[in-house]
Amino acid sequence: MGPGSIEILEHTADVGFRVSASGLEELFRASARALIALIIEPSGLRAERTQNIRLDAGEPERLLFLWLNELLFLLDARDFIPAAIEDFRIDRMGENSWRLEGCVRGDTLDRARHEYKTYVKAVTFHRLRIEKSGSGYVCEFYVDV
Amino acid sequence: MKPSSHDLPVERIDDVRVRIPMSADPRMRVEGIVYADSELFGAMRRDETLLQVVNVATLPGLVGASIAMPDAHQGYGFCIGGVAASDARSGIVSAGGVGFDINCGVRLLATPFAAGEVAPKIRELIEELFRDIPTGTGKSGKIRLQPAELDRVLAEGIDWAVARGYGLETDREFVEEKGRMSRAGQVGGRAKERGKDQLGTLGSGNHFLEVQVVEEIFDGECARAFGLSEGQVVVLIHTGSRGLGHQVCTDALLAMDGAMKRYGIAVPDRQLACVPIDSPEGREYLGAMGAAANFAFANRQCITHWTRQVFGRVMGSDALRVVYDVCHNMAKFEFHEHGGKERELLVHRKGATRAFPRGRDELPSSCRNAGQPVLIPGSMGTHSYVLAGKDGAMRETFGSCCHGAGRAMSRTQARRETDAALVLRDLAARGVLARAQTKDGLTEENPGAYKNVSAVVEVVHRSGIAGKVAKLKPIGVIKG
Repeated sequence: MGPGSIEILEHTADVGFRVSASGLEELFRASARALIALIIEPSGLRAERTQNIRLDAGEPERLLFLWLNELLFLLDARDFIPAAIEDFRIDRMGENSWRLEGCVRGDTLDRARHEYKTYVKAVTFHRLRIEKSGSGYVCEFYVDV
Repeated sequence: MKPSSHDLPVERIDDVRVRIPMSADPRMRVEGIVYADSELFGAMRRDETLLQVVNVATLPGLVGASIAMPDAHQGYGFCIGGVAASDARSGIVSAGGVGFDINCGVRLLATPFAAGEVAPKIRELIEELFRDIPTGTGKSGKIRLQPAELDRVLAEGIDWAVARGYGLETDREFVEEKGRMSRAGQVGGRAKERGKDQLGTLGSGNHFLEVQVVEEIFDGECARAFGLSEGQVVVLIHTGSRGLGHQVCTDALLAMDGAMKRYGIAVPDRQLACVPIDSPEGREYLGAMGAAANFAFANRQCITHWTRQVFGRVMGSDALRVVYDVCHNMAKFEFHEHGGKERELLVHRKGATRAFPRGRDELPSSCRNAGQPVLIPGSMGTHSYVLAGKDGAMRETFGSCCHGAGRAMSRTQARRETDAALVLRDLAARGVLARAQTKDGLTEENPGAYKNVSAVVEVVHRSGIAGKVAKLKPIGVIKG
């Protein structure tokens, strides 16, 4: 789902991530990859189903919150495991207006084929941040397990 | 620069209470009170638990203190094991003060069997419970709800389940709120989509069903009132509102985060997003929270029904009685005395349990002379406790108590330090037969990852919040 470096942050009860990437789209892709890899073994996932996603938010942090929680919703409600992201873009539509659009291809959860590792209830707002770092971006987010 | 938990100025009040004075942070509107002995407090110093108690103390409209129970540990926003009450008319409601797993809670069932009768059949019992009670994730549930039926679950809670044959009419008397929140409102479409196939599922993470034995009785009078005796086999069920509740909280956090500025509210941690109780967002959240709570009550009721069926098949009797069912993630409108007068407050309990003392009308008549049963699950494979609420809880903690052992180790560290096979061997050495859907379900929840529940319960007992009634030893567990 795209390059970017991922670091897991220690937290007594939950799990945090620090993700770095060269651009905002890569940051969001890599964050998704980190989240899904926590939940399910990512190797061998098939890109058989499609979910088109469009999200709007007033700032990048809320957009990241919406994006990651959308993936959790698809997994929990529709047994949809994201495997690949296509046609992915994040656009600034106005001063306080950001839009994410993408086509997420994925697999259907099947306990016989997939190793489900950790159930994630939600991505939280706790310490959620996106900052420019050098020529790229870094974000942090924590999930409730 | 903000202080860390290490540097926070504190004053020890006595051997079980510590004050965080308002001078610790200029934004605090009330002080912090932490229930902990020196060892438990030392652990809280090592993560951000105390900073989170301070952060909660900055919320507008809080009454009394920002409280942390002896099992408190770092959460996100509120610490886990936190209690905060706000004025019902002028105060705030915070979705993060309840948490994602709305009405995560615990139910204790008393069986008619003694340990010696169950021991030879424990393997069969655990295997059948694991087979019959859906655990883990995905479409593992046995109940598929059409939209109109789900709406009834959300409105009626335990009453829905009992009307459809899941359990007995008499069960509801022994459930907090009689298993049905009266202010249940609308729930969003996404939450319904997550929840429609998840009713009657245990879930995963730290959720479980344990078969236990009453190992020790501390208070004979209360034990008799609760129907517990030494050597008796009991069952403890720990689960909540599943994906439906998680989505309700996520949706509310977004709404509150977006609305706060309009109400002139700023918070030190965005996960503390809150709005006035008397606001469209506040009313909407409280209605949705009530509905999600009802889903959880119905969930534990369905699981109770299947547990009874398994005992009926394996042991020859399904006469399992509900001792009590408590919530430990909830916000409740309650009347409490404060400043010499009775006030209606919204009490947020995030990883904390209601612990009403004797004499309260909310309690079942059989418990009214004893106090409310307070169920404290230990970590997997360790002891659990039954306590009884005392007057100290009403005086000091808005009728609240701890909820469990509390984590001491991060999940990543737990996974590093052990593996599933080791955990299973350790559990077997303790005499506990375990079945889990996932390896992480064992490694992250291994007993070493949690605080000592006995130490937590001792602090509660010494503080006068709740008194020890019984100690329960696990002999079998199923989890996701």
